[in-house]
Amino acid sequence: MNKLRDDIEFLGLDYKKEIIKTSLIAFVLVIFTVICFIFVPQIYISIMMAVGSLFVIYIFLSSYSSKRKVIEQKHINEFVSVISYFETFISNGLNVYTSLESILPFSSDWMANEIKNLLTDIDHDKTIKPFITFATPFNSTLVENIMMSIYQMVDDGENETRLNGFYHSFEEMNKINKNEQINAIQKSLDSVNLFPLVGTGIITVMLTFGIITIIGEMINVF
Amino acid sequence: MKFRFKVEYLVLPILFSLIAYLASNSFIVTGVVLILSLIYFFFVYDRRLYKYVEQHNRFDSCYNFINNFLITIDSKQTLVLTLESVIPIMDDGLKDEYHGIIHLEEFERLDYLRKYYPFYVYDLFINVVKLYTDRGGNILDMSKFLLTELRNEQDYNHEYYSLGKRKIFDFSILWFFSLIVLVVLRFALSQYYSMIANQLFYKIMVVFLFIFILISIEVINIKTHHFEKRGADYEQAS
Repeated sequence: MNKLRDDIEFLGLDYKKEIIKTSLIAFVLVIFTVICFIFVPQIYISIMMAVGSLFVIYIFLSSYSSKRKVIEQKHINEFVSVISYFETFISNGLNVYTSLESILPFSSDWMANEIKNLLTDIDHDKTIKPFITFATPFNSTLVENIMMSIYQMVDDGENETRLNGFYHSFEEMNKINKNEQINAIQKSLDSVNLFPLVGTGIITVMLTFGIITIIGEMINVF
Repeated sequence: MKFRFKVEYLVLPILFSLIAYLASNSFIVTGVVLILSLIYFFFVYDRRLYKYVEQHNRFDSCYNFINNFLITIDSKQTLVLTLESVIPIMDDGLKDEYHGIIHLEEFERLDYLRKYYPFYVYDLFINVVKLYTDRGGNILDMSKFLLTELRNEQDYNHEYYSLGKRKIFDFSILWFFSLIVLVVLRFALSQYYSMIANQLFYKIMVVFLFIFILISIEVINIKTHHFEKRGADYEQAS
């Protein structure tokens, strides 16, 4: 339940409202199932309604976790993109602070807000803390490593060693992120193979139902 | 909605309607399947595929433009001479776009082309060119990271395209065997099949099956013909 609350709050929604919404949907589905059970003579329809209702509630509740994963991955992808701009600026002589300011126009509202908070925190706190705080929403050790190497550039200066450390970390992160994206696409494409299998199932049901109906009619004739 | 007539879009609707006729013995079912398939391929499938191909080709054009520009500016040293050398060897789409902005200053023209190349590598390129024009230096050194990122993006797009093609092939084979089962049973069951095909429920299920096939084609179409414009949104940046 805590994980569900975390997911709902991460999406910026009100936990109580979402639980009330889910409960209302579940209540309506239960009422429909009961009505089916009372008024529809074929029991299998009521069973299908009950199973379908459970499935709908499950999908609804698991959608928060799926949406959270999508948003987290989007944030990481955006981080990789804005750090690409950052790398362009820093490798051409700009300092860390100016480079971070320069990437604001290329960021989404959310990212720009995070970067502005980082810049404000850097002004007041010269430790690694603002950089770690920035990395926290991404929920990724790779992002943390990048932010730590950026902090080292601030702390030690943008010398060649620190720049090389940053380039290496970023290149690694870029490679891993791209591989993860390709793997995610592959997984998503693999799921498409279910359609022909379901199609074969539909064909089997069609033919079975047809054959049973004919046999039933033949038996009735006799 | 622009209508593009392509002969290849007739193949699957005709094949589906043929199988629907063999399965149902009904011209009404065949007609419904044919009409639905034609509408889907000409108005839905084509739109998404065309958009993907356009964006894919646009990225290839962006890749070529950036590479040619960086190599040329290293020898020509000025934006004017570089653009004069590079634009004539580019694709017609870029040439047409460029001729519409010839009245702008050189850097403004490059900046305007962000709308033609809405990719974050082009944004990076503009930033490198701006730094070069402001501070000077060796542009090939300055764009080392940009060229690596450009190559990575190109590799990613090609890998995605290859994955998509492989998946479409696997998907087609699986559906082919599913439909072969239907056709084979139609002939194997012979006289019983005509009794099955006369049932209204069966005819409806045949139409439902082909609607399901079209939905599955659309799902794979969405997954394989989706060009992800990674990076910052130009609208946001401006």
